[in-house]
Amino acid sequence: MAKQINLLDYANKKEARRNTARKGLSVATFLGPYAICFAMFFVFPLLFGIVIAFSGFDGRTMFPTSFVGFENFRVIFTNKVVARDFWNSVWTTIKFCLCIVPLSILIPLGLALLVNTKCIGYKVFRALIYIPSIFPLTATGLILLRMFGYQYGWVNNFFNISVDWFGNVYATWFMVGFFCLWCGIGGNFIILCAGLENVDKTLYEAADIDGCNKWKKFLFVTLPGIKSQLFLVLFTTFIGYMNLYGQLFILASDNSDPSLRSAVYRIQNILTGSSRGYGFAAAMGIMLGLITIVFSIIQLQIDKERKAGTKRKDEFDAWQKNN
Amino acid sequence: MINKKVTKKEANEILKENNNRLVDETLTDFVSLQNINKIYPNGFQAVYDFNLGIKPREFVALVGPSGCGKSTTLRMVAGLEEITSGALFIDKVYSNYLPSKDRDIAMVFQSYALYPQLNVYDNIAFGLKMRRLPKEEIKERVFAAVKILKLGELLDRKPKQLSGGQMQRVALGRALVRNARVFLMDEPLSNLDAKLRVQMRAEIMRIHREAKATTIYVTHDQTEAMTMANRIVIMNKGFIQQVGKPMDVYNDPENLFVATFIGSPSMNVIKANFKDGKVFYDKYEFALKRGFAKKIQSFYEKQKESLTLLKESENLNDHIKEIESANIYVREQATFEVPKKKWFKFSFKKKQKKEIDNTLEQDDHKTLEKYINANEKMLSGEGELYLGIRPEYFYLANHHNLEKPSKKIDVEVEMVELLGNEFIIHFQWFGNYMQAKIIDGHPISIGDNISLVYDLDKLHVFDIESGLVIK
Amino acid sequence: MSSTRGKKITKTVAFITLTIVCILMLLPIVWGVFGSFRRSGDFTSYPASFFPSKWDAFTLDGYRELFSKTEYIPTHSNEYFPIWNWLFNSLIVAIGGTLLYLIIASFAAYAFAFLDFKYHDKIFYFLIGTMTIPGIISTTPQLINMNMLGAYKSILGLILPGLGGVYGVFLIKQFFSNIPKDLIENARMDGASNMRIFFNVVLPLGKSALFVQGLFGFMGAWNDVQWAQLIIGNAPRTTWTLAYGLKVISDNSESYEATTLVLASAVIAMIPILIVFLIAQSKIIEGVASTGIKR
Repeated sequence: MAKQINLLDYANKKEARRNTARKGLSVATFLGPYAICFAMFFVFPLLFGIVIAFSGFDGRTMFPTSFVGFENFRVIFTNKVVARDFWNSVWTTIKFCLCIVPLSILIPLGLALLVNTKCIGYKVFRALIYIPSIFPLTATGLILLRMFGYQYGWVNNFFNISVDWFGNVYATWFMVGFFCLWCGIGGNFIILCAGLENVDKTLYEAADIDGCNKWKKFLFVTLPGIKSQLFLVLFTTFIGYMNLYGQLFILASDNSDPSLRSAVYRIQNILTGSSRGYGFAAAMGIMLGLITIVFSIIQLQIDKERKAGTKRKDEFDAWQKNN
Repeated sequence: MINKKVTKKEANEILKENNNRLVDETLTDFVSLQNINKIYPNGFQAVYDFNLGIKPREFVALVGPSGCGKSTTLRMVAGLEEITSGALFIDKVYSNYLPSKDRDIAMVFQSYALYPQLNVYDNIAFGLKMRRLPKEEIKERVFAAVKILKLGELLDRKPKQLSGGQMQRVALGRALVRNARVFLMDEPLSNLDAKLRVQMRAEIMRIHREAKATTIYVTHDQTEAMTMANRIVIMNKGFIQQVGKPMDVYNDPENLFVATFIGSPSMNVIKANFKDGKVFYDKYEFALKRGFAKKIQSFYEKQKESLTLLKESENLNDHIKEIESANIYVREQATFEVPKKKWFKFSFKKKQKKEIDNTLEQDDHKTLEKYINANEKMLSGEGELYLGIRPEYFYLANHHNLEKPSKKIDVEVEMVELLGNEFIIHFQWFGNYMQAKIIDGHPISIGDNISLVYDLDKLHVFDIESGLVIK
Repeated sequence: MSSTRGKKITKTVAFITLTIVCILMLLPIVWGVFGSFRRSGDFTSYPASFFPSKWDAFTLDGYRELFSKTEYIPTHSNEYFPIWNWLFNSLIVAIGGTLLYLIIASFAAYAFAFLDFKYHDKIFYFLIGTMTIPGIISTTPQLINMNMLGAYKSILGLILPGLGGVYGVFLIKQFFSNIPKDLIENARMDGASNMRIFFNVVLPLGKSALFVQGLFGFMGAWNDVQWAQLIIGNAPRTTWTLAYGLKVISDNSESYEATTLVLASAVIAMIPILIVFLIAQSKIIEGVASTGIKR
């Protein structure tokens, strides 16, 4: 005789199972395509990159040929030529970052504050400031190359000066910085504009009544109000400029001065060069990535909400005893 | 007196002597608003000819529906809005041009306006810090306020870790420590739930007393105003409708708006006919007080005089608006916002505005004609009137203590709201939807046919066109 | 109160400063655009002139020359610029890649926002976390990855890597989360399947998110040089994208006579993205305004 089962329980369980199956199908259809792409084009390369960094691989074959352990890393640190080139470029990149990141935040902040006064045509200004950042770097970079050309460039001839904008190393760095700012502040600008709009207006009024002047209002209402946007902007801008490549490549690739190379530039060179030292490139990429992560973590720690203590409460309790 | 003519040199000297403050010693009021008007750059007038004298330590409530101008008036006193015309005196000092921080005022906002990055202590202490008081004194003041408001446990917390009620108390604390003589509150309790609101009302009144402050309190909730204030100022559409003590405003409303705005549930209003000195509807006659017919007559004669004067008036439009603002208050009225102007539509609008202005002028005169005609009709002895009687003055015909009850009316109960010991009965009388508040033990159900009487002493009579009460 | 006058002064100062800044920002672009229409000799003869120096310095020669170099001539192999191919390739990658990604990402965003599956929030936080990993680590392996898939030296290699991006999923999911759950639950009660809800409820309301991500995706694909250099740099010129091709044009046109040509190519690269930007802008503002759903 067949085993006796409880009808109600069975019906419930069967429906539950069907539901889970249906749900699972839904999740699979919606999340599936992305999950596959994510795995294939994000996770896999990431993990593979770590493998390559530990293997000897020169691109002549499909796969890494040998496992060389930390050999690649050793080369990066000890081989005179490789190490000098790479670590110099890392140091150059860091120096550049420290200079350009503050500017990349303060200038858009100033512009956002100006636009936030809602003067006539502020919407037009907002769009215009953003526009240079939408174009390909090659296009805008080309224009800069010609406009600041040494012999026939407009700038040198109009102002009657004779600066070798792209030959002189310092001038080139200046141009790179100018290029980065010109085409880069658009994004931060829009984010800060949005942040400024969301600051509670009554807070300004309360500050008025509390006796704040314009500067204090900026310190105590505006800045705290856009704190999250400021941190977002700082975070992303820093990571972006640690990976400086395009602007430098377009403006300075024909200038052979070795100090005009960023870390990513060096890596890119290896990947496009004839020696195809993929192992080295991967290892360098990892090193650069680690350095960036370290800086990022430092930044996050500063932003963390510190837990409230009980300092004031204790003071109050003490005071209460005497009163 | 400060309104005298002087030479420029003398003016500068006087201002220098008095530290940029002009004082009018003849004033007895603590806060004095004289002929205050607020007109925005786009032409919209939010406050018309506001006159009010507030005595020291008084608690004055500004009440009215949204957009009536109460917040604007408060902000003008605070210094957050510019006063278009008129004079503001705070503690005898002419304050129109003084910045907010120099006005000896403290303000509590509807949205609390706490600095999100500071903890409770620093929020309360902020204004004092800005004024560079010594640290010890700041501590003393803050802790004293914290004691009153029972905020001791919360001192180290930031606003996002506080509940709505706690945040409001911190905002109160911030106002309290300033030791300002005038407290300004802009709908501070609107964001709190009902029970908390009732609690906080008591808190605010206690603080007002203990701080010995003069308080101006803005709210759209007439119950709140009635319970908290020494005097109420009722506003509508930028005009003051009535100023008085809560009970006076309740018992003797001066126009239809005040009558229907104050009191919950609202006063019942019926249109009735007037002929040969009697007020009636169909066959039902409303018994009026002795000599009332004569009062009606003298009312309309006085009205005729003022209306005729208006014909020559320059700002007829303002007067018409004032008359219209006294009309019945209908709850749940939609307010439409004036759409923002676009810059390229500017010139277009200017032309339109001129045409609109001209037609408005003609409309105004037509409206005035209408008023005058209606007035004449009433003077000739026949016309219509509004009668008002509050729901709480209805009684069951077989269960009342009135000396002079009205003629009874038989109605069918359409709906009953049970409030414990009280009933609010909805019924229709002569096609008017009305409510009666009965305090009784007898259960009443929908569909019952009952007989009601009302207190004749509490029957108000209003003119239809102007909404003014006739007494 | 002096504040109103103070406000007016602030606004005027802001207006003046912003005008100056915007003129400076647009100066190079304006120069470039006008320059693309100048006779090449004009640059060497009147280098200080911002605009073409005289009326007859206006010419379309630069463009003509640019489009004339689309044939391969062995003796001038450096001057082989198959610009139509480049335009075509860039458009395919930008439009095709973006559309593909939009579909995939919005599906995934829907799953995270409305499908309540196990660990859905933890997985989402994990995804956000991966955004902090610097991309340079994956560059080398990604190349090999593409090679293994046979996408090296082809346009496919330009499109595929982007499909694994996290930013779009994050952006669209945030947007979807703002749609009132009531609408979704209502649809479910009416018996709508998830697909139905996605296309008939969520998509119409979440349109602006798609426009924003579409704009960013298009921009990223259109403007990319670094990855293009790696993937198709060694491929025949016909497979290049416009942005990369531009750099090569510039490198091979050192002389000042070729300035017009170079500037013309820059303008050609800038126009499509500008058009897309303006369209997307108006749609986004429209979308944000109409989705002001108040409860």
